[in-house]
Amino acid sequence: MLSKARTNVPLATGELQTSEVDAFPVWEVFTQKKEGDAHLHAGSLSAPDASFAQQFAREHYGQDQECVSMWVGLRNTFIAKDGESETYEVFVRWKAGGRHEHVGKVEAGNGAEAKNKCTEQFAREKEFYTIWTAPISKLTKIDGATDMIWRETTDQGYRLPRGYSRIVRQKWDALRAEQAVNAYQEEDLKETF
Amino acid sequence: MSELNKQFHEPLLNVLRCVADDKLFLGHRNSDWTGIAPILEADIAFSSLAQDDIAHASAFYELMNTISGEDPDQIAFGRTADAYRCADIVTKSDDFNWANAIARQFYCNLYDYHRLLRLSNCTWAPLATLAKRICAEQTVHVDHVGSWIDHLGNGNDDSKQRLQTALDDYAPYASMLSEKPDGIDTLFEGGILIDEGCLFTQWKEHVDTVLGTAGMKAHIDIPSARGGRTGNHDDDFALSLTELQEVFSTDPLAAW
Repeated sequence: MLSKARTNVPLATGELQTSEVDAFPVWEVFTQKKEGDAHLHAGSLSAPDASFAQQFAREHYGQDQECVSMWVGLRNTFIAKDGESETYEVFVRWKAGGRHEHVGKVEAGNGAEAKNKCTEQFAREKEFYTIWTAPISKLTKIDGATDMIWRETTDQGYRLPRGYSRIVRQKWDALRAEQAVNAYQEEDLKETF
Repeated sequence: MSELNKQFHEPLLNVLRCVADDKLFLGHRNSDWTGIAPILEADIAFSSLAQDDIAHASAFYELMNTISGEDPDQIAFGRTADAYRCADIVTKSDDFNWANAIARQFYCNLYDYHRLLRLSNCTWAPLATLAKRICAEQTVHVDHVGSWIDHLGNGNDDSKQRLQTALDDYAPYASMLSEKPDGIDTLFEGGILIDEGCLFTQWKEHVDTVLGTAGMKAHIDIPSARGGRTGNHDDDFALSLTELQEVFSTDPLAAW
């Protein structure tokens, strides 16, 4: 049943058009599960700017003991061929349907060069699907030591299907046991009378 | 559990009731936005923060259970209206106006943060430990709502005006947060809690600082009367409570 408060939801408020929201740029989020692991592509989200992108990413992909570090950058940054001369983080998606994985850093003059260097250094003679690169200056990095806050305090199990499994199973077991007893008693009664 | 003199049981339970009830009802009201927040990403984030508040409340109810032995679900859902100690800002309806929700969240999240900071210095270790851990998580709430204040306050004329109106509307309710809980002086005198000066002032300074960078203002006065913290609640609270207890009251002894 819906919350009673929901019965009062206004149909539409404000003048914000859907198209404006749709026009928010897309940001890519990478997370590192534990120290030493590679940063893996976790997903994307849309946000009006880097600050909100970071806030949303923290809620969507982190903080539930799911990662120790998070990188957020504009999607366009990862696929760009232009750019400045600096250090680039490089990511390889080894096969279609896979996730981009951080493989290292390269010094490059622009995105295209970074992608070439990534191929030479990390994917030489290997099959791969796509390469993403991002200049370090364009990535927001949230690290455990500084900004990452773990939600260790509270049991977040209720967010996951398995969080329910034990109690639900106990309830089912109890219910089935009760039904079995009832069925047995019914049979018993039939035989007796 | 480490030793807590019996004379401090009821005063401490009352302080914990204020903290936990604030979080339970704020989380409950904020979860109204699940599915209908202005943008998808904000929807997911706000829902996640609401769950967090409810989980924090639950942790405090469990701590209360170690003192009183009372079942945490019973404490959360099984009381009559006058036994709840939340400040009524947490249940004040936002009328599904996002600026209202943000203003309410802003005042409450910052207050919670400073209150938790103080509870972290409690000399009763179980509370100090829990408060420290929740306080770390509370910084996420403060950062998140701070982003909204920053964006709306530094946005266009429409967003500025909407936010300022909401901040003004909620300011009188915000002051209720700092109504003094019964028994807190006993805890100060007994050395259980450390009196670190005026919590209202500390919170207000933080509120003013964040609003200042967003070109917004809040006129909050020290509360002159007492309401929620003494169990005297308004109509919006009554609505929230009925809704909150609806499922629980169908079978109060059920194990969830």
